[in-house]
Amino acid sequence: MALRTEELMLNMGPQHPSTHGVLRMVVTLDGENVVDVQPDIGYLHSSVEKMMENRTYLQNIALVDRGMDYLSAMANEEVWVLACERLGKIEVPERARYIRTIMLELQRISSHLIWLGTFGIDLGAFTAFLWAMRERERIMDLFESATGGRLHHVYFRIGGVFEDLPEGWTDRCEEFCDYFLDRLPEYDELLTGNPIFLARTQGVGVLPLDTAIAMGASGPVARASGLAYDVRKAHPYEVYERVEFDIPVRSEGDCYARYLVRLEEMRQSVRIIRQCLERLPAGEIRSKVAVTLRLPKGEVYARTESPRGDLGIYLVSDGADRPYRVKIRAPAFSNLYALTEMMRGWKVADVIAILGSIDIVLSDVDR
Amino acid sequence: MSWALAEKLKAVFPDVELFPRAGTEPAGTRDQGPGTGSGEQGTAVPESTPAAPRRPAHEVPPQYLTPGVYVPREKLLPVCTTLARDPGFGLTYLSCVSAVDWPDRNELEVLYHLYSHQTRQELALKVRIPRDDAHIPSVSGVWDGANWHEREAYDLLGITFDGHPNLRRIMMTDDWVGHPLRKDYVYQDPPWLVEVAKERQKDAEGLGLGERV
Repeated sequence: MALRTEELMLNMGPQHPSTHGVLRMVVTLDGENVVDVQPDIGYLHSSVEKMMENRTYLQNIALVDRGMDYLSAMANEEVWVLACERLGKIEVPERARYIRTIMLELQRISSHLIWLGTFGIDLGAFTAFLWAMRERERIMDLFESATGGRLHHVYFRIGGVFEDLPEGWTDRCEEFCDYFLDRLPEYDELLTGNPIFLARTQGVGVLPLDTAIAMGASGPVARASGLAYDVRKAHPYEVYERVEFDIPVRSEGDCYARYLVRLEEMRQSVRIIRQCLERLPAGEIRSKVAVTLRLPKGEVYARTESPRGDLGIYLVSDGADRPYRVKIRAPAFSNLYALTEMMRGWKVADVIAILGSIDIVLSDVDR
Repeated sequence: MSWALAEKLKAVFPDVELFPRAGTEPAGTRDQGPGTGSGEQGTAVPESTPAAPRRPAHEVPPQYLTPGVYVPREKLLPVCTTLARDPGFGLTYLSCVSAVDWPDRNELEVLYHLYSHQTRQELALKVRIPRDDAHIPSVSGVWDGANWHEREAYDLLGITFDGHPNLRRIMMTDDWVGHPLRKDYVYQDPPWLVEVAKERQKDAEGLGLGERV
Protein backbone atom coordinates (compact mmCIF):
# COMPACT_ATOMS: atom_id res chain seq x y z
CA MET A 1 0.00 0.00 0.00
CA ALA A 2 1.44 3.33 -1.02
CA LEU A 3 1.67 5.85 1.75
CA ARG A 4 0.96 9.45 0.81
CA THR A 5 3.92 11.63 1.75
CA GLU A 6 4.31 15.36 1.59
CA GLU A 7 7.30 17.63 1.41
CA LEU A 8 7.98 19.56 4.55
CA MET A 9 9.09 23.17 4.69
CA LEU A 10 11.49 23.83 7.52
CA ASN A 11 12.34 27.38 8.47
CA MET A 12 15.79 27.78 9.99
CA GLY A 13 16.70 31.17 11.34
CA PRO A 14 17.06 34.11 11.19
CA GLN A 15 17.81 33.40 14.83
CA HIS A 16 19.30 29.98 15.07
CA PRO A 17 22.56 29.09 16.79
CA SER A 18 23.94 27.22 13.81
CA THR A 19 23.45 29.90 11.17
CA HIS A 20 26.40 32.00 12.38
CA GLY A 21 24.48 35.24 12.51
CA VAL A 22 21.18 36.30 11.08
CA LEU A 23 20.68 34.03 8.11
CA ARG A 24 17.36 32.44 7.32
CA MET A 25 17.21 29.22 5.34
CA VAL A 26 14.01 27.82 3.97
CA VAL A 27 14.69 24.11 3.70
CA THR A 28 12.39 21.84 1.73
CA LEU A 29 12.53 18.33 3.12
CA ASP A 30 11.33 15.01 1.84
CA GLY A 31 11.48 12.93 4.99
CA GLU A 32 15.00 13.56 6.15
CA ASN A 33 16.37 14.39 2.71
CA VAL A 34 16.99 17.94 1.64
CA VAL A 35 15.19 18.70 -1.62
CA ASP A 36 15.95 22.40 -1.79
CA VAL A 37 17.43 25.19 0.30
CA GLN A 38 16.73 28.85 -0.24
CA PRO A 39 18.91 31.15 1.82
CA ASP A 40 17.18 34.40 2.73
CA ILE A 41 19.64 37.18 3.44
CA GLY A 42 19.52 40.89 4.12
CA TYR A 43 18.79 40.86 7.86
CA LEU A 44 22.11 42.56 8.53
CA HIS A 45 22.04 44.92 5.57
CA SER A 46 23.41 48.27 6.64
CA SER A 47 23.85 49.86 3.22
CA VAL A 48 27.58 50.33 3.62
CA GLU A 49 27.95 51.20 -0.05
CA LYS A 50 25.53 54.12 0.38
CA MET A 51 27.20 55.31 3.56
CA MET A 52 30.59 55.27 1.89
CA GLU A 53 29.38 57.78 -0.69
CA ASN A 54 28.90 60.29 2.12
CA ARG A 55 32.26 59.91 3.83
CA THR A 56 35.72 61.02 2.86
CA TYR A 57 38.30 58.50 1.75
CA LEU A 58 39.95 58.56 5.16
CA GLN A 59 36.72 58.20 7.11
CA ASN A 60 35.78 55.21 5.03
CA ILE A 61 38.66 53.20 6.48
CA ALA A 62 36.83 53.16 9.79
CA LEU A 63 33.59 52.29 8.06
CA VAL A 64 34.79 49.26 6.09
CA ASP A 65 36.20 47.89 9.35
CA ARG A 66 32.76 47.67 10.88
CA GLY A 67 30.41 47.58 7.96
CA MET A 68 31.97 44.66 6.16
CA ASP A 69 33.30 41.37 7.44
CA TYR A 70 33.83 42.04 11.15
CA LEU A 71 36.03 39.00 11.70
CA SER A 72 38.70 40.20 9.29
CA ALA A 73 38.76 43.96 9.60
CA MET A 74 42.33 44.24 8.32
CA ALA A 75 41.40 42.52 5.08
CA ASN A 76 38.62 45.06 4.53
CA GLU A 77 40.94 47.97 5.20
CA GLU A 78 43.46 46.48 2.82
CA VAL A 79 41.09 46.26 -0.14
CA TRP A 80 39.84 49.77 0.45
CA VAL A 81 43.26 51.45 0.73
CA LEU A 82 44.54 49.35 -2.18
CA ALA A 83 41.77 50.63 -4.45
CA CYS A 84 42.44 54.23 -3.40
CA GLU A 85 46.20 53.88 -3.83
CA ARG A 86 45.88 52.39 -7.28
CA LEU A 87 43.54 55.09 -8.49
CA GLY A 88 45.57 57.89 -6.94
CA LYS A 89 48.92 56.27 -7.82
CA ILE A 90 50.01 56.71 -4.25
CA GLU A 91 53.26 55.13 -3.20
CA VAL A 92 53.49 52.98 -0.08
CA PRO A 93 56.82 52.75 1.77
CA GLU A 94 58.46 49.34 1.92
CA ARG A 95 58.18 48.99 5.66
CA ALA A 96 54.46 49.69 5.59
CA ARG A 97 53.94 47.07 2.93
CA TYR A 98 55.70 44.46 5.06
CA ILE A 99 53.76 45.46 8.16
CA ARG A 100 50.51 45.22 6.23
CA THR A 101 51.36 41.75 4.98
CA ILE A 102 52.14 40.56 8.51
CA MET A 103 48.86 42.00 9.80
CA LEU A 104 46.86 40.49 6.97
CA GLU A 105 48.24 37.03 7.63
CA LEU A 106 47.69 37.31 11.37
CA GLN A 107 44.14 38.31 10.52
CA ARG A 108 43.79 35.27 8.29
CA ILE A 109 44.88 32.97 11.10
CA SER A 110 42.56 34.61 13.60
CA SER A 111 39.62 34.43 11.20
CA HIS A 112 40.29 30.78 10.39
CA LEU A 113 40.54 30.02 14.10
CA ILE A 114 37.09 31.44 14.72
CA TRP A 115 35.82 29.34 11.85
CA LEU A 116 37.54 26.23 13.21
CA GLY A 117 36.04 26.74 16.63
CA THR A 118 32.51 27.37 15.46
CA PHE A 119 32.69 24.54 12.95
CA GLY A 120 33.66 22.27 15.83
CA ILE A 121 30.67 23.46 17.84
CA ASP A 122 28.39 22.83 14.87
CA LEU A 123 29.56 19.23 14.87
CA GLY A 124 29.45 18.82 18.63
CA ALA A 125 33.18 19.14 19.30
CA PHE A 126 33.27 21.86 21.90
CA THR A 127 36.92 21.54 22.89
CA ALA A 128 38.12 22.81 19.53
CA PHE A 129 36.31 26.09 20.16
CA LEU A 130 38.03 26.70 23.46
CA TRP A 131 41.42 25.89 22.02
CA ALA A 132 40.92 28.04 18.96
CA MET A 133 39.82 31.00 21.08
CA ARG A 134 42.88 30.56 23.26
CA GLU A 135 45.19 30.94 20.25
CA ARG A 136 43.13 33.75 18.81
CA GLU A 137 43.45 35.67 22.05
CA ARG A 138 47.22 35.87 21.52
CA ILE A 139 46.64 37.37 18.07
CA MET A 140 44.16 39.84 19.52
CA ASP A 141 46.80 40.90 22.03
CA LEU A 142 49.29 41.43 19.22
CA PHE A 143 46.75 43.52 17.33
CA GLU A 144 45.86 45.49 20.40
CA SER A 145 49.42 46.44 21.19
CA ALA A 146 50.10 47.55 17.62
CA THR A 147 46.83 49.18 16.66
CA GLY A 148 44.92 49.83 19.86
CA GLY A 149 41.94 47.82 18.68
CA ARG A 150 41.17 44.17 19.00
CA LEU A 151 38.50 43.74 16.36
CA HIS A 152 38.29 47.08 14.59
CA HIS A 153 41.76 48.43 14.10
CA VAL A 154 41.54 51.39 11.70
CA TYR A 155 45.25 50.80 11.28
CA PHE A 156 45.89 50.99 7.55
CA ARG A 157 46.07 54.39 5.92
CA ILE A 158 46.04 55.39 2.30
CA GLY A 159 49.77 55.42 1.64
CA GLY A 160 50.92 53.36 4.61
CA VAL A 161 49.92 52.42 8.13
CA PHE A 162 48.92 54.62 11.06
CA GLU A 163 51.78 53.96 13.46
CA ASP A 164 54.98 52.00 13.58
CA LEU A 165 55.11 48.72 15.47
CA PRO A 166 55.74 49.16 19.19
CA GLU A 167 58.95 48.14 20.86
CA GLY A 168 59.41 44.37 21.03
CA TRP A 169 56.39 43.63 18.88
CA THR A 170 58.31 41.62 16.30
CA ASP A 171 59.78 39.40 19.03
CA ARG A 172 56.34 38.75 20.45
CA CYS A 173 55.04 38.00 16.98
CA GLU A 174 57.90 35.56 16.44
CA GLU A 175 57.05 33.93 19.75
CA PHE A 176 53.48 33.56 18.69
CA CYS A 177 54.53 31.86 15.44
CA ASP A 178 56.52 29.24 17.36
CA TYR A 179 53.72 28.77 19.84
CA PHE A 180 51.10 28.44 17.15
CA LEU A 181 53.01 25.86 15.11
CA ASP A 182 53.32 23.81 18.30
CA ARG A 183 49.59 23.95 18.79
CA LEU A 184 48.51 23.06 15.28
CA PRO A 185 49.28 19.31 15.62
CA GLU A 186 46.86 19.31 18.56
CA TYR A 187 44.05 20.16 16.18
CA ASP A 188 45.08 17.23 14.04
CA GLU A 189 44.74 14.98 17.06
CA LEU A 190 41.48 16.53 18.10
CA LEU A 191 39.69 16.71 14.74
CA THR A 192 41.61 15.38 11.74
CA GLY A 193 41.78 11.85 13.10
CA ASN A 194 38.49 11.94 14.97
CA PRO A 195 36.13 9.24 13.59
CA ILE A 196 32.99 11.23 14.47
CA PHE A 197 34.36 14.33 12.77
CA LEU A 198 35.33 12.31 9.71
CA ALA A 199 31.92 10.68 9.50
CA ARG A 200 30.22 14.08 9.61
CA THR A 201 32.45 15.76 7.02
CA GLN A 202 34.05 13.30 4.62
CA GLY A 203 32.18 13.14 1.34
CA VAL A 204 29.48 15.49 2.66
CA GLY A 205 28.35 18.57 0.74
CA VAL A 206 30.41 18.07 -2.39
CA LEU A 207 30.78 21.09 -4.66
CA PRO A 208 32.11 20.08 -8.10
CA LEU A 209 34.76 22.27 -9.67
CA ASP A 210 32.76 23.52 -12.66
CA THR A 211 29.80 24.40 -10.44
CA ALA A 212 32.08 26.25 -8.06
CA ILE A 213 33.45 28.40 -10.89
CA ALA A 214 30.06 29.02 -12.47
CA MET A 215 28.59 30.10 -9.14
CA GLY A 216 31.44 32.46 -8.46
CA ALA A 217 32.78 30.67 -5.41
CA SER A 218 36.26 31.65 -4.32
CA GLY A 219 38.69 31.31 -1.47
CA PRO A 220 39.02 28.11 0.54
CA VAL A 221 35.63 26.91 -0.71
CA ALA A 222 36.79 26.95 -4.34
CA ARG A 223 40.27 25.69 -3.52
CA ALA A 224 38.78 22.68 -1.75
CA SER A 225 37.01 21.91 -5.04
CA GLY A 226 40.27 21.93 -6.97
CA LEU A 227 40.48 25.53 -8.19
CA ALA A 228 44.10 26.61 -7.77
CA TYR A 229 43.28 30.30 -7.54
CA ASP A 230 44.49 32.66 -4.89
CA VAL A 231 44.67 36.40 -5.53
CA ARG A 232 47.86 36.56 -3.49
CA LYS A 233 49.53 34.43 -6.15
CA ALA A 234 47.59 35.41 -9.26
CA HIS A 235 47.68 39.19 -8.74
CA PRO A 236 50.13 39.84 -5.92
CA TYR A 237 49.69 42.94 -3.84
CA GLU A 238 51.79 44.24 -0.92
CA VAL A 239 54.83 41.92 -0.70
CA TYR A 240 53.22 38.60 -1.56
CA GLU A 241 55.31 38.18 -4.70
CA ARG A 242 58.48 38.26 -2.62
CA VAL A 243 57.60 35.60 -0.06
CA GLU A 244 57.40 31.88 -0.56
CA PHE A 245 54.21 30.10 0.28
CA ASP A 246 52.05 27.33 -1.12
CA ILE A 247 48.38 27.35 -1.96
CA PRO A 248 46.71 24.27 -0.56
CA VAL A 249 44.32 22.77 -3.10
CA ARG A 250 42.15 19.68 -2.66
CA SER A 251 40.07 17.99 -5.29
CA GLU A 252 37.36 16.34 -3.15
CA GLY A 253 35.20 19.44 -2.70
CA ASP A 254 33.59 18.15 0.50
CA CYS A 255 33.41 19.63 3.99
CA TYR A 256 36.52 17.74 5.03
CA ALA A 257 38.54 19.17 2.14
CA ARG A 258 37.45 22.69 3.10
CA TYR A 259 38.60 21.97 6.63
CA LEU A 260 42.00 20.67 5.46
CA VAL A 261 42.53 23.63 3.13
CA ARG A 262 41.98 26.14 5.92
CA LEU A 263 44.16 24.23 8.35
CA GLU A 264 47.03 24.23 5.85
CA GLU A 265 46.44 27.91 5.05
CA MET A 266 47.14 28.76 8.67
CA ARG A 267 50.49 26.96 8.43
CA GLN A 268 51.31 28.88 5.25
CA SER A 269 50.34 32.15 6.91
CA VAL A 270 52.86 31.50 9.65
CA ARG A 271 55.42 30.87 6.94
CA ILE A 272 54.65 34.23 5.34
CA ILE A 273 54.75 36.08 8.66
CA ARG A 274 58.15 34.62 9.51
CA GLN A 275 59.65 35.63 6.18
CA CYS A 276 58.25 39.14 6.52
CA LEU A 277 59.57 39.53 10.06
CA GLU A 278 62.99 38.42 8.89
CA ARG A 279 63.12 40.96 6.07
CA LEU A 280 61.20 43.81 7.70
CA PRO A 281 63.07 46.91 6.54
CA ALA A 282 63.50 50.08 8.55
CA GLY A 283 62.25 53.39 7.29
CA GLU A 284 59.12 55.40 6.70
CA ILE A 285 55.73 53.91 7.43
CA ARG A 286 53.52 56.38 5.60
CA SER A 287 53.85 58.59 2.57
CA LYS A 288 52.45 62.09 2.63
CA VAL A 289 48.79 62.02 1.73
CA ALA A 290 46.42 64.89 2.34
CA VAL A 291 43.69 64.27 4.91
CA THR A 292 41.19 65.70 2.45
CA LEU A 293 42.40 63.44 -0.31
CA ARG A 294 40.84 63.92 -3.71
CA LEU A 295 41.33 61.03 -6.06
CA PRO A 296 41.50 61.70 -9.79
CA LYS A 297 38.45 61.04 -11.89
CA GLY A 298 38.25 57.42 -12.90
CA GLU A 299 37.49 53.96 -11.69
CA VAL A 300 39.38 50.96 -10.43
CA TYR A 301 38.63 47.41 -9.45
CA ALA A 302 40.95 46.09 -6.75
CA ARG A 303 40.88 42.46 -5.71
CA THR A 304 42.45 40.87 -2.67
CA GLU A 305 42.35 37.50 -0.97
CA SER A 306 40.46 37.88 2.28
CA PRO A 307 40.21 34.89 4.64
CA ARG A 308 36.91 34.10 2.95
CA GLY A 309 37.97 34.50 -0.64
CA ASP A 310 38.12 36.95 -3.49
CA LEU A 311 37.29 40.31 -1.91
CA GLY A 312 37.02 43.13 -4.42
CA ILE A 313 36.15 46.80 -4.42
CA TYR A 314 34.98 48.69 -7.46
CA LEU A 315 35.60 52.35 -6.82
CA VAL A 316 34.35 55.20 -8.97
CA SER A 317 35.68 58.67 -8.33
CA ASP A 318 34.37 61.87 -9.89
CA GLY A 319 37.22 63.96 -8.53
CA ALA A 320 35.50 64.97 -5.30
CA ASP A 321 36.77 64.34 -1.79
CA ARG A 322 34.52 61.34 -1.35
CA PRO A 323 33.85 58.35 -3.58
CA TYR A 324 31.09 58.60 -6.16
CA ARG A 325 30.23 54.94 -5.95
CA VAL A 326 31.69 51.94 -4.18
CA LYS A 327 30.71 48.39 -4.90
CA ILE A 328 31.94 45.69 -2.59
CA ARG A 329 32.37 42.24 -4.05
CA ALA A 330 31.95 40.17 -0.91
CA PRO A 331 33.37 36.65 -1.04
CA ALA A 332 30.87 35.21 1.42
CA PHE A 333 27.98 36.52 -0.71
CA SER A 334 28.98 34.39 -3.69
CA ASN A 335 30.05 31.43 -1.56
CA LEU A 336 26.68 31.44 0.15
CA TYR A 337 24.97 31.34 -3.22
CA ALA A 338 26.70 28.01 -3.89
CA LEU A 339 25.13 26.63 -0.72
CA THR A 340 21.99 25.36 -2.44
CA GLU A 341 24.09 23.24 -4.76
CA MET A 342 26.11 21.78 -1.91
CA MET A 343 23.11 20.86 0.21
CA ARG A 344 20.76 19.29 -2.29
CA GLY A 345 20.35 15.57 -1.61
CA TRP A 346 21.89 15.50 1.85
CA LYS A 347 20.19 14.78 5.15
CA VAL A 348 18.81 17.51 7.36
CA ALA A 349 21.57 16.91 9.92
CA ASP A 350 24.18 17.65 7.26
CA VAL A 351 22.72 21.11 6.67
CA ILE A 352 24.52 22.35 9.76
CA ALA A 353 27.83 20.78 8.77
CA ILE A 354 27.73 22.12 5.23
CA LEU A 355 26.73 25.63 6.27
CA GLY A 356 29.48 25.65 8.86
CA SER A 357 32.06 24.53 6.34
CA ILE A 358 31.68 27.49 3.96
CA ASP A 359 32.56 30.04 6.65
CA ILE A 360 30.14 32.87 6.11
CA VAL A 361 30.05 36.11 8.01
CA LEU A 362 26.67 37.70 7.60
CA SER A 363 27.88 41.25 7.72
CA ASP A 364 30.05 40.37 4.75
CA VAL A 365 27.11 38.81 2.91
CA ASP A 366 24.65 41.62 3.62
CA ARG A 367 26.93 44.62 3.95
CA MET B 1 46.70 44.06 -17.13
CA SER B 2 46.29 43.42 -20.80
CA TRP B 3 43.96 44.90 -23.34
CA ALA B 4 44.40 41.92 -25.68
CA LEU B 5 41.06 40.39 -24.74
CA ALA B 6 39.24 43.66 -25.28
CA GLU B 7 40.76 44.07 -28.73
CA LYS B 8 39.99 40.46 -29.58
CA LEU B 9 36.38 41.02 -28.61
CA LYS B 10 36.25 44.13 -30.74
CA ALA B 11 37.36 42.03 -33.71
CA VAL B 12 34.48 39.60 -33.19
CA PHE B 13 31.85 42.18 -32.27
CA PRO B 14 32.55 45.49 -34.04
CA ASP B 15 29.68 47.11 -32.09
CA VAL B 16 31.60 47.15 -28.83
CA GLU B 17 33.70 50.16 -27.94
CA LEU B 18 36.90 50.03 -25.90
CA PHE B 19 37.26 52.10 -22.73
CA PRO B 20 39.33 55.20 -23.40
CA ARG B 21 42.87 54.22 -22.54
CA ALA B 22 45.13 56.39 -20.45
CA GLY B 23 47.90 55.89 -23.01
CA THR B 24 45.91 57.83 -25.63
CA GLU B 25 46.15 61.00 -23.58
CA PRO B 26 48.21 63.77 -25.19
CA ALA B 27 51.84 63.80 -24.09
CA GLY B 28 53.06 66.28 -21.54
CA THR B 29 50.33 65.80 -18.97
CA ARG B 30 51.45 65.20 -15.45
CA ASP B 31 49.70 61.82 -15.19
CA GLN B 32 51.88 58.84 -15.69
CA GLY B 33 50.54 56.36 -18.18
CA PRO B 34 49.12 53.55 -16.10
CA GLY B 35 49.08 51.34 -19.17
CA THR B 36 52.85 51.07 -18.96
CA GLY B 37 52.93 49.98 -15.33
CA SER B 38 52.42 46.44 -14.15
CA GLY B 39 49.29 47.31 -12.24
CA GLU B 40 51.25 48.06 -9.11
CA GLN B 41 51.29 51.44 -7.45
CA GLY B 42 53.08 54.11 -9.45
CA THR B 43 55.52 56.59 -8.06
CA ALA B 44 53.79 59.94 -8.16
CA VAL B 45 51.77 61.32 -5.29
CA PRO B 46 49.31 63.64 -7.03
CA GLU B 47 48.85 65.93 -4.02
CA SER B 48 52.52 66.64 -3.57
CA THR B 49 53.65 67.15 -7.16
CA PRO B 50 52.69 70.64 -8.21
CA ALA B 51 55.09 70.47 -11.17
CA ALA B 52 52.65 70.82 -14.07
CA PRO B 53 49.77 73.29 -13.86
CA ARG B 54 46.61 71.56 -12.79
CA ARG B 55 44.07 71.28 -15.53
CA PRO B 56 40.42 72.05 -14.78
CA ALA B 57 38.68 68.96 -13.47
CA HIS B 58 36.29 68.65 -16.37
CA GLU B 59 39.16 68.47 -18.86
CA VAL B 60 40.96 65.60 -17.17
CA PRO B 61 39.83 62.39 -18.80
CA PRO B 62 38.80 59.69 -16.34
CA GLN B 63 41.18 56.80 -15.86
CA TYR B 64 40.10 53.24 -16.44
CA LEU B 65 42.52 50.92 -14.73
CA THR B 66 40.72 47.73 -15.74
CA PRO B 67 40.66 46.83 -19.42
CA GLY B 68 37.11 46.81 -20.64
CA VAL B 69 34.57 47.55 -23.32
CA TYR B 70 31.23 49.27 -23.69
CA VAL B 71 28.61 46.86 -24.95
CA PRO B 72 25.30 47.92 -26.51
CA ARG B 73 22.36 46.55 -24.58
CA GLU B 74 21.07 44.38 -27.47
CA LYS B 75 24.44 42.73 -27.90
CA LEU B 76 25.00 41.87 -24.23
CA LEU B 77 23.79 38.28 -24.34
CA PRO B 78 25.69 37.20 -27.49
CA VAL B 79 28.83 38.93 -26.23
CA CYS B 80 28.60 37.27 -22.82
CA THR B 81 27.89 33.85 -24.29
CA THR B 82 30.94 34.14 -26.52
CA LEU B 83 33.15 35.34 -23.69
CA ALA B 84 32.09 32.54 -21.37
CA ARG B 85 31.82 29.61 -23.79
CA ASP B 86 34.50 30.34 -26.38
CA PRO B 87 37.79 28.81 -25.14
CA GLY B 88 39.62 31.66 -26.89
CA PHE B 89 38.25 34.00 -24.23
CA GLY B 90 37.54 31.56 -21.40
CA LEU B 91 36.08 34.18 -19.06
CA THR B 92 34.26 31.60 -16.98
CA TYR B 93 34.21 33.52 -13.73
CA LEU B 94 31.98 36.48 -13.06
CA SER B 95 33.45 38.46 -10.16
CA CYS B 96 30.55 40.78 -9.71
CA VAL B 97 27.76 42.75 -11.28
CA SER B 98 27.58 46.34 -10.18
CA ALA B 99 25.80 49.43 -11.37
CA VAL B 100 26.40 53.16 -11.14
CA ASP B 101 23.76 55.87 -11.32
CA TRP B 102 24.57 59.03 -13.32
CA PRO B 103 21.48 61.24 -13.02
CA ASP B 104 22.97 64.22 -14.89
CA ARG B 105 23.52 62.02 -17.95
CA ASN B 106 20.19 60.27 -17.32
CA GLU B 107 22.08 57.03 -17.45
CA LEU B 108 22.72 53.89 -15.49
CA GLU B 109 25.90 51.96 -16.08
CA VAL B 110 25.80 48.23 -15.46
CA LEU B 111 29.17 46.63 -14.98
CA TYR B 112 30.32 43.04 -15.28
CA HIS B 113 33.79 42.18 -14.01
CA LEU B 114 34.91 38.99 -15.71
CA TYR B 115 37.92 36.86 -15.00
CA SER B 116 39.64 33.86 -16.50
CA HIS B 117 41.34 31.45 -14.10
CA GLN B 118 43.36 29.90 -16.92
CA THR B 119 44.94 32.99 -18.42
CA ARG B 120 44.51 35.23 -15.35
CA GLN B 121 43.09 37.96 -17.53
CA GLU B 122 40.28 40.24 -16.59
CA LEU B 123 37.79 42.21 -18.60
CA ALA B 124 35.09 44.65 -17.61
CA LEU B 125 31.89 45.03 -19.59
CA LYS B 126 29.91 48.19 -19.30
CA VAL B 127 26.38 48.67 -20.54
CA ARG B 128 24.78 52.10 -20.55
CA ILE B 129 21.04 52.15 -20.19
CA PRO B 130 18.64 55.08 -19.80
CA ARG B 131 17.44 55.69 -16.26
CA ASP B 132 13.78 55.74 -17.19
CA ASP B 133 14.01 52.48 -19.14
CA ALA B 134 16.21 50.44 -16.84
CA HIS B 135 15.90 47.07 -18.53
CA ILE B 136 18.76 44.78 -19.38
CA PRO B 137 18.94 41.09 -20.30
CA SER B 138 19.92 38.82 -17.42
CA VAL B 139 23.19 36.92 -17.77
CA SER B 140 22.33 34.41 -15.06
CA GLY B 141 21.93 31.81 -17.79
CA VAL B 142 25.55 32.33 -18.81
CA TRP B 143 27.10 32.60 -15.35
CA ASP B 144 24.96 31.06 -12.66
CA GLY B 145 26.64 33.23 -10.04
CA ALA B 146 25.09 36.36 -11.55
CA ASN B 147 21.76 35.43 -9.98
CA TRP B 148 22.22 37.11 -6.60
CA HIS B 149 24.34 39.95 -7.93
CA GLU B 150 21.56 40.89 -10.33
CA ARG B 151 19.00 40.67 -7.57
CA GLU B 152 21.14 43.06 -5.57
CA ALA B 153 21.38 45.53 -8.46
CA TYR B 154 17.62 45.26 -8.93
CA ASP B 155 17.02 45.87 -5.25
CA LEU B 156 19.42 48.76 -4.69
CA LEU B 157 19.38 50.48 -8.10
CA GLY B 158 16.10 49.44 -9.64
CA ILE B 159 17.44 47.73 -12.74
CA THR B 160 15.17 45.09 -14.21
CA PHE B 161 17.03 42.07 -15.49
CA ASP B 162 14.84 40.51 -18.15
CA GLY B 163 14.78 36.72 -18.04
CA HIS B 164 16.03 36.49 -14.47
CA PRO B 165 14.62 33.36 -12.80
CA ASN B 166 13.85 34.97 -9.46
CA LEU B 167 13.99 38.75 -9.55
CA ARG B 168 13.03 39.76 -6.02
CA ARG B 169 14.53 42.17 -3.53
CA ILE B 170 17.42 40.56 -1.71
CA MET B 171 18.73 43.08 0.83
CA MET B 172 15.73 45.30 1.56
CA THR B 173 12.33 44.01 2.65
CA ASP B 174 9.85 43.07 -0.05
CA ASP B 175 7.62 46.07 0.67
CA TRP B 176 10.42 48.64 0.53
CA VAL B 177 9.77 51.71 -1.58
CA GLY B 178 12.54 53.07 -3.77
CA HIS B 179 16.05 51.96 -4.60
CA PRO B 180 18.60 53.24 -2.07
CA LEU B 181 21.68 53.45 -4.27
CA ARG B 182 20.06 55.76 -6.80
CA LYS B 183 21.47 59.22 -6.35
CA ASP B 184 18.08 60.87 -6.00
CA TYR B 185 16.85 58.44 -3.37
CA VAL B 186 15.52 60.08 -0.23
CA TYR B 187 14.96 57.95 2.82
CA GLN B 188 11.43 57.80 4.12
CA ASP B 189 10.23 55.92 7.13
CA PRO B 190 8.13 52.97 6.01
CA PRO B 191 4.42 53.31 6.95
CA TRP B 192 4.58 50.68 9.69
CA LEU B 193 7.38 52.57 11.39
CA VAL B 194 5.39 55.81 11.28
CA GLU B 195 2.52 53.95 12.95
CA VAL B 196 4.79 52.60 15.66
CA ALA B 197 6.14 56.07 16.32
CA LYS B 198 2.59 57.46 16.63
CA GLU B 199 1.66 54.71 19.08
CA ARG B 200 4.71 55.44 21.18
CA GLN B 201 3.89 59.11 21.16
CA LYS B 202 0.40 58.36 22.47
CA ASP B 203 1.83 56.15 25.20
CA ALA B 204 4.28 58.82 26.22
CA GLU B 205 1.54 61.44 26.39
CA GLY B 206 -0.60 59.12 28.51
CA LEU B 207 2.22 58.82 31.01
CA GLY B 208 2.58 62.56 31.19
CA LEU B 209 6.13 62.45 29.86
CA GLY B 210 5.47 65.24 27.44
CA GLU B 211 6.32 65.34 23.81
CA ARG B 212 9.11 63.18 22.56
CA VAL B 213 11.40 64.85 20.15
